[in-house]
Amino acid sequence: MSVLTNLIDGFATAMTVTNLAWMIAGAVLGTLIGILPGLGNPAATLAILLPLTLRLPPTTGLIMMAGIYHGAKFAGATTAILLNIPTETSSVVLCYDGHELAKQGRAGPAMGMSAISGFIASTVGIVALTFAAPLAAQLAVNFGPPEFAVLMFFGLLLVVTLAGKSPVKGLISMFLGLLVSTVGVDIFTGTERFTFGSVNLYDGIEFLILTLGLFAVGEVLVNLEKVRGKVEKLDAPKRLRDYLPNMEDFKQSRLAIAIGSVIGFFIGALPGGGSTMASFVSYAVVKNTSKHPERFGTGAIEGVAGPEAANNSEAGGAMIPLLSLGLPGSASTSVMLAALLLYGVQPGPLLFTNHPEIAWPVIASLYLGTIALLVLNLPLIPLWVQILRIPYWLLYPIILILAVVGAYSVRGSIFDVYLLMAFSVTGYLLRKLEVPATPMLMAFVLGPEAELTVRQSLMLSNNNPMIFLERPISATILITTVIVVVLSAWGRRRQRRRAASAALHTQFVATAVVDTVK
Amino acid sequence: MRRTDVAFGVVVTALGAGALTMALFMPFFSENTPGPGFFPRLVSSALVILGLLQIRQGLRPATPEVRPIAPVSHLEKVAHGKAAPREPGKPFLSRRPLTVLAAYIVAVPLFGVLGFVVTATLLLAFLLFYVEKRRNLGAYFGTVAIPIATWLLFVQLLGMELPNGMFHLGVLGI
Repeated sequence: MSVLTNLIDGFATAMTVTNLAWMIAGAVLGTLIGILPGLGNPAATLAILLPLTLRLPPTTGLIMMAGIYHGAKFAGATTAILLNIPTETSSVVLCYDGHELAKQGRAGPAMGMSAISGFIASTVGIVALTFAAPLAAQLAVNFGPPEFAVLMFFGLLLVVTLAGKSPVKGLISMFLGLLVSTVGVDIFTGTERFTFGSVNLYDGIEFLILTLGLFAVGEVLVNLEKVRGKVEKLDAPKRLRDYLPNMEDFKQSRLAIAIGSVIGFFIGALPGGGSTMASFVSYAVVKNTSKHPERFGTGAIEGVAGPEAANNSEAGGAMIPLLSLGLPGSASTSVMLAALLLYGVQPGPLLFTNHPEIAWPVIASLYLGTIALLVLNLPLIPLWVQILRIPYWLLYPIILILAVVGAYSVRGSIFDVYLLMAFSVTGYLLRKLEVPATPMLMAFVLGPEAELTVRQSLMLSNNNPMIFLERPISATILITTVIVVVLSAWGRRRQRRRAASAALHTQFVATAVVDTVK
Repeated sequence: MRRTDVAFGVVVTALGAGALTMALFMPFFSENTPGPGFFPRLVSSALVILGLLQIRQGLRPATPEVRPIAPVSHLEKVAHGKAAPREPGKPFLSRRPLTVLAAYIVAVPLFGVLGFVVTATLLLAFLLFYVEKRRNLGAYFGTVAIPIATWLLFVQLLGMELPNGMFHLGVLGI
């Protein structure tokens, strides 16, 4: 009952006029920026608007961020369905059936189903979060520095194994993030580390600079390589009732929404899970459990409902490790974690006891954000589509200018703009080299806490590293980490062997055919 | 062999080695507790090892992805192993993003001299007129309007700071 009471208090706090106004503003801004090609991923959107949210009180700022997060996700669905251009990776799967529906003149029901299934799944995700998060927090009260240290490395390694094609590149990205996080003055001893005598580096490198460089400007530079042809736009429906799916659509989609809600929540709760994996897994499961899997890819409405449900319930799942353990599972939640830390709020098991006035309104605002999207953004889709008329040659200079504004606004220092340049080059090169940037961002955010907990653990044990194995919870997490890493490595090895033998077989067959013809 | 992967591995190894060298000057342990050099040494050592692993991976022959377009005679295989047909590739770094990046980098020191509005106008002019080759009304308007609108929004409306010029004219931060 206390959970429900806390949630009701959270709603009461979130539903003040000020907080609602900023939440709606966040949802609108999130959609506005999220709909822009080359910048639409929620992490970049959150990062760009972070200077604005940080000027607000903590509760209001975090409520606004929840609105921005949902807005950016919604924007991805709009462009995927109408233009076949997903502005974020979790919307890629919507192109398969969503755009097909749009070509058949059913863009409205496709977008309506996307919003409605997202709303239903968000509700499921947030209800589950409401009960699961305090439970996780209660379990985590028994966590000490060794448990947190091992948990952070578990989360980071999971992101690395799931992030890209090459684990070595993923690990390099992670350790680069950890190295960058050590820049500054050591909090224990006051020793300068990697500051090169510069006063500007005494406080370390600001999170916003890294994110803008890696995700915003880096993305723009990569997009500049693509030759943009004229995109054939499909007209968005003009009347609200054109967005409503019919009863047959709902009947076909109800199982897909249920499947997507469950899958999205559990994958979201995993560090490294993310909405991309949630939407793809949901699509695969919905297709394989359908009585007519051959319809998928030709305009099956459940091919939109399932992935969008997973995409939205993932947000609820992702909040569990973030709020209860202080462990972000994706780039977006890393930005949220950074925002919490900048507000002076330490997420973790004590968040619900020490700062219930922040935790519960944030959970409530996740729910309110989806209502705002359903009521507000859906009818405004024709307006959002007009934004897409802004040509990219005009858009990307604006993004570059805004990035400078964001970087300078942190400390009012040109040095930060120079750092932005450096990280922009880094982000561009990482993309070119197929090195995932998310592990670097996560490691940068978690690095100081990881170092602190490792040092505290060794202090507790008189410098005996066996403390990580002697404590049962820590040992369990460590063993789980090793098992996951070994399984992942074994799986990749098997895949490589299969690919190599398939290629050899093809070569053999090709040679045999040529010999026969001769 | 993938040259870019090998080069990346070399850079990471060098970076790790450099960081490790600096970290060696920081105490690993101080007063019987992990010191400021503890974490940097571990992280930079890991980067050195990973960089070397990356070099090794880059030097490995690639998995056969290119299908043979003609049978390879037994003699060639035995004698010197005929390489797969080399597909023409585009350059690793393209001109357009490099030009934009260079303009961006040149603009940074100018922000403190000319102020945000003037520098942003010059940057936009370069990008729109030279890089994008747009000479229409939209481009001319955008070149001037966007920096001014940004300054008005962030400085006047939101009360944020943007770089001011050294002339102190009191107009648009110049």
